Amino acid sequence: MEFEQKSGASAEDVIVLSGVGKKYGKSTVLKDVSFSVPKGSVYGLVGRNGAGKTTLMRLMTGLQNCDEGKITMSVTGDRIGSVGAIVELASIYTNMSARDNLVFQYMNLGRKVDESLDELLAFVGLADTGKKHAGKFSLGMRQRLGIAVALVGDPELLVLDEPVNGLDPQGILEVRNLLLKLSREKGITIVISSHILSELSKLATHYAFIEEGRVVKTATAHEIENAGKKFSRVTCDDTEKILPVLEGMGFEPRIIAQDKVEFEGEAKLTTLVTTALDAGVEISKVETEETDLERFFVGLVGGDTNV
Amino acid sequence: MFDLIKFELKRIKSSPLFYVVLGLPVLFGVISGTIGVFYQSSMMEYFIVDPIAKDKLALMSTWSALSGFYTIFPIMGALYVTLFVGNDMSSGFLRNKLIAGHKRSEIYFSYLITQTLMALLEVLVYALVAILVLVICGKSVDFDGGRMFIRYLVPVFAYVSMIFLFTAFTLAVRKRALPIVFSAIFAFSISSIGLFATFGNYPVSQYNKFLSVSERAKADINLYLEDNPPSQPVYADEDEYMEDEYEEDVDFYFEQLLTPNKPFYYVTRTLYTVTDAGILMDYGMSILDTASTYNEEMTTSLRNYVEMEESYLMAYSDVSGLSSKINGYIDELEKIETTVPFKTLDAIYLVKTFIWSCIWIGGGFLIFRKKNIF
Repeated sequence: MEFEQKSGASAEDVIVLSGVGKKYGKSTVLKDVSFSVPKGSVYGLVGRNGAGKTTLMRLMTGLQNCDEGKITMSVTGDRIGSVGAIVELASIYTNMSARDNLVFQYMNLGRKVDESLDELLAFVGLADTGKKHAGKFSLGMRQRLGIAVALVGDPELLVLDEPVNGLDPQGILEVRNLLLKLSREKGITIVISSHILSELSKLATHYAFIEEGRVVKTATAHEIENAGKKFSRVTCDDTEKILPVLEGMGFEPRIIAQDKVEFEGEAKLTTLVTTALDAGVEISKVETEETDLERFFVGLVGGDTNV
Repeated sequence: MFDLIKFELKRIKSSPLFYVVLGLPVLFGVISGTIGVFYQSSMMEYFIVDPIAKDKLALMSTWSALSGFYTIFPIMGALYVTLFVGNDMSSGFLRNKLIAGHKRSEIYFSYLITQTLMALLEVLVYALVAILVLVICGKSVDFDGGRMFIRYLVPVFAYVSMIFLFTAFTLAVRKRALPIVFSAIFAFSISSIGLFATFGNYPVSQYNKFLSVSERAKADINLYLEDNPPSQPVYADEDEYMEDEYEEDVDFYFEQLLTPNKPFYYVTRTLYTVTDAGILMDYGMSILDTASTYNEEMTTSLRNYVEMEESYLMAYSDVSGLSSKINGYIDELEKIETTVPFKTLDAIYLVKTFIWSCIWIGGGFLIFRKKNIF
């Protein structure tokens, strides 16, 4: 990974990936991955299991080396401490308190322990954990401690792989609020991956969609919102019979459940109901939705919405 | 890298393992010092028959006290290094260092340097305690005009080269249990080879001469026994006599005489030659008999074998013809020069240690530089 030190803050990209490739043995995990992460953005990596998101994050954090291409990182300060990350598991000592974990990270970065340590503990909501060992923390607390460890050194880039994985709703809310605070208050650039796309959509400003080791699309959250596509979901008593009715109206329907059919676009309700009745199908419900992240992803890579 | 080394040293100091690993050298130092005191005791009169060796007991006990760590420290070091560094791999601290932006070379060498410093501290604590016990409880301490300290550095360097191996291996391998098992087996093997393949560093040509003379002597003795059958048996048969007194001794000397015929001899001898396994044995023997150690060992073996046979035969009949025959072979053996001076031993072991250190450090770094951290 190349490292570039920039003097003075600017609106440029914090990290640029150019033709990045990675193999594990004979298996190609990433191929020709190119995108750039703008400074101050929350950059979501979206892809199925095994698409290559975690490997990409390992490459971005220097845990692994690229086999092809290059990754260039531009930060205003020193490289030491400029990146914080949680890749898969929070790297914390479970037989130490939250404070001791942070003290070690200060030492790791060659920094003196000062009042910023207590501020950091308070920032992640772990100021009152005292001497309690991290091993006795809840999953959410461990995750927040991991983020705190990653934040020592005031990083310009934070790389988080599935930071809400395994958390209960309260934990998810805690981590989400923390990340929003980091992005808004500290202006930290965040690269994040999550299977929970609805959660990711509440944070991310930019996305890279990854499928089988390749980036199939990059988009801003604004672009996805403005994709303008609407989807209709019809609940009826006979999905087989309603298919030709919808096709006759110019739609491309697909059965998504025993009593549900979905299609892109919006049909006029009265026309749909009467035409269906004429064909012997009784419609009980019609729902219409705008394009969301999940649909956008499925639209790109195909399959169902189970990412 | 200085910050990283400082950080590592603080972490080592704050680890409970640190106090265990510093406590054990104190314990082993006391044990080795006590063994050194035992070498100087009157009980050794029974074990050491060679007058040259007797004169060198103070030297031997000092060497024993200083170098005794080499028998057990490799195993202790193997466990400590693999547990400490391995824990960093599994807990994610190594990942934190990489993510923080430290270069792989800095991380790798900071581990090597700090683990080496730890190893040096262990052997220093050990040596101080062992010598202190010897000074307080023993009759005398002989540093051979200061040359003993230089000799002491040979096993110290050999131990440090093993620490390089354990550290490099732990950093190069993904699984945590593998380095622990491998390092412990390696350390144990080094100790075992040292015992089983003695004389590995002695010249092969001289060794073969000894073997040739010994085999001729043995054949000649057997021939003599066939031509001169016993006439006045005291014991019912030879087995009864052997069981009664000398069986184990005879077997032992036979074994020493015929070392090359042991099934694993060539394997262990090769390992003994290429590794540092023989330090204690080679230096120990050279200290007891600074010249012709090998001759002495072989002639003693042969002499003892003959003595056993003589004792047995005397129990039956007159063996006047055998002694002169045997003495001829002993004279022949003693003429074979196999002197290995300390300077040669130092050179052999320091060169081997240096080469192995380069292999461990270089090989480990090549793997770690490209290693995927998960």
